[in-house]
Amino acid sequence: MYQNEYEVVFITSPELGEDQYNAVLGKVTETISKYEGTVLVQESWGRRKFAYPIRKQNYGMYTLVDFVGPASLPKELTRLSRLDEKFMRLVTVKIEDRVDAGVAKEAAEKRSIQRLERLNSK
Amino acid sequence: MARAMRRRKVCPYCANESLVIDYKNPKLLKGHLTEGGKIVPRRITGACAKHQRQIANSIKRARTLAIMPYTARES
Repeated sequence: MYQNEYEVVFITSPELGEDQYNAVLGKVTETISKYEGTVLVQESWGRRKFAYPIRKQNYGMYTLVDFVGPASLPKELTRLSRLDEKFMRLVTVKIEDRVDAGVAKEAAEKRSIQRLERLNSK
Repeated sequence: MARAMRRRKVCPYCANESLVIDYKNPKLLKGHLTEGGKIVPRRITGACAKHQRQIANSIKRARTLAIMPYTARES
């Protein structure tokens, strides 16, 4: 089966302790590997202000994970986020069709560096 | 009343390929929202159909993630 490249962005509460946060992140990465996907890049954007309040909160922790996996994975991640209320939001977007993890990794890392520069310049 | 001849605007995203439309970049997308938070129509921005579609989709994704507002009334 061919695999596609996706990126998932999710929001967790900034009130979670480090352990809890790592557990949530672990769930995402474990789900990806369980479905024979490969994590390419992982980014933490830190605490960011919402454009509108979610669950009466004004800030959230943003995390992005870029991965290559089968087409069934995005659905599974959405399911996971619905079951676990520690996820405030989760969005998966397809980046590239039919890619090889090794080839995609380099490009994903390059994009990540540019993105983090932009985030930090704000 | 003489109607002024208006030159058809060139899509800014076709003219400048370095502008990447991305839901993670609120700086760029902000220019496509009205003060009330509505998406600005193509006839104002001059974007071509392809890019307007990308902009609209990006704004909607960004709204889900609370990166962009649904409305500017709150906050």
